[in-house]
Amino acid sequence: MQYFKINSPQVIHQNIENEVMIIHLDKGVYYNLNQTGILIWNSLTSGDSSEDTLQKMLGEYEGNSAEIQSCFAEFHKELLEEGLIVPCEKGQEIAKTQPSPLKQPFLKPVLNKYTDMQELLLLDPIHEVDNGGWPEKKE
Amino acid sequence: MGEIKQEQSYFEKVCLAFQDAAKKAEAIYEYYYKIAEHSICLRFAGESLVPLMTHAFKHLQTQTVSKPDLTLCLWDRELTKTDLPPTNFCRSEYYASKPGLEKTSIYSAWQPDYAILSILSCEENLGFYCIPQAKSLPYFETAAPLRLLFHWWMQERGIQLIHSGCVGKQNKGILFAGKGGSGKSTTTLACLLHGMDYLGDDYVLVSHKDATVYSLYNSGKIHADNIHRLPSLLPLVKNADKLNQEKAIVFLYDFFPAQILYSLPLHAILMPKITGQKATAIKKASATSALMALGPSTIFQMAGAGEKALGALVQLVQKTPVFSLELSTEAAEIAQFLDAFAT
Repeated sequence: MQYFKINSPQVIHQNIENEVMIIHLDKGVYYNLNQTGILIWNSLTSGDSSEDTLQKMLGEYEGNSAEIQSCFAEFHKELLEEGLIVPCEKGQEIAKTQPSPLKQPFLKPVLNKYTDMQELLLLDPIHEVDNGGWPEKKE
Repeated sequence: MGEIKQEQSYFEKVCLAFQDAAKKAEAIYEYYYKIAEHSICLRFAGESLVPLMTHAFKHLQTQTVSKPDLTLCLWDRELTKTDLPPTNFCRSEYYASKPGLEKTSIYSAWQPDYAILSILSCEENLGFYCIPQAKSLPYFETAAPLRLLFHWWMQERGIQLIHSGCVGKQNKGILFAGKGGSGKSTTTLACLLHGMDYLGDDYVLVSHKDATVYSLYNSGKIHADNIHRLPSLLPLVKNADKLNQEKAIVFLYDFFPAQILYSLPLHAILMPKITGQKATAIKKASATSALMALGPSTIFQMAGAGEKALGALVQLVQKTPVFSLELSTEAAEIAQFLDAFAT
C-alpha cells in the first residue's frame, strides 16, 4: 500500500464550494482541479492509499476500467511531479465511504496550473547569508 | 530550537542597533496612527525617512498615544552611521520555521535588491525597518510602506492585508480583486474621481470575521500608459518626472480628504476584467473565482503568508456576494455604473 500526504508547509489548499484550490508557495504556482481530480485529491490527502483511491474511482465512475486506471496513474504522477503530494508512512484511519449507487460518467482528471504569479517571487525575501553574515541573493 | 534562539538574539541585536542609530541621529521623531482599530507608532531615528514613509498614512494620523499597540522603528544606515548587526544564521532556514508560527513569533524579511530589513516580534509588538539610505528607498515603498510588518502583525489579530482596491458609497464597500493589469487601480481611481469614497487601490486590510475593510494607504498608483484615461489626476502626480520608469503616484488625501475613509462594511467583491466593450456589465460569480482572484496575488506578495491567510480569504469570499465586472473602455462610464451599483 502506498500512502501520500500534502507536501506541507510549502503546499497549502482549501476546499470551497465543492472545488479545490492548491497553492505551491515555493514555486509561485497555483492550481485547481476538475471534479474527478477533486475526488482523487481529497481521497489521497485524507489518508486513503493510492490503491484505495483507485478503487473509489472505479466505484464512482462508469467507463472502461483500464482507461480509468491509466488516467489515475497519469494524474497521480502529475501530482507527485508538481510536488503537491509526497509519500508518507501510512495515512490516517478514516471511515470508508460507500460508492454512490448511481455511477457517473468518467471524466479524465485535470490539474489546471496557473503560473501568472511567478514574477512576484522575484520579490522573494528568502536568501542565504554570505560569510560576513550579510544576506546575498540566491542565483 | 537553536535557530529560534538565534532569531530572538538577532532581534535583540537589531533593537540595540536602533537605539544606537537614535543616539547618533540625536533626534527621534514619533508619529501616531489609528489603523484597523489599533494604535500604531512609527518611531524614526533622524528625520530622513519621515516624509518618505508617513505620507501614505496621513489620513490615519492621530494624537500621541501613551502605550501604542504596535511600535515600528525605522532608520537609515547612512544618516545614522549605524549598520545592521551581522547574522550568523541562514535566512532560508529562518523562514522555514515560520508557517503556522507554532515555534516563534519573530518574522523577518530581507529585500536584497534594496538591502531593506523588516523584522517584527509579535510578542513584543515591536518591529524594525532598516534601509541603507533614504534616497535609495524605492518609489513603491513610499506609496505602500511597511507592508510586510503590517501583514505579519495584523494577521495575528484576525486582520488580513489583501492585494485589492476598495471604494464605497453610502457605507457599502466594494472590493476589487484581481492581479496586476486587471483594471483594478484604474477602476478604483475612476470611482474616486466620480465622487465615491476610497479606502485604497492596491492594498487594504480586511477583518474577515465581520467583513470590514480598513484603509491602510491613501496613495493611488497607476501605470503611466493608463493615466491618460484619468487626465484630471495628471496634475496631482507626485513623480511626474519619472513616469518613464515608475508608476504614477498620487497621495489622494492631499486632494480628496473627505473621500478617503477609515473603514467600510464590505458589500461585494468584484473581479474586474478588461473587455473592450462600450458598456460595463456585471455578472454573479462564485466564491471560488473570488478566491482564485484574491488568494494567489495576496499570498505570493506577502512573505510568511500561507494557510492562515488563505483560510481568512475563504471566510471572506464565502460571506460576501461575488461578481465579475466586465469593464468598458470609458473610465467615467465604469465609475457611473459602479456608483449606481453601490446605491
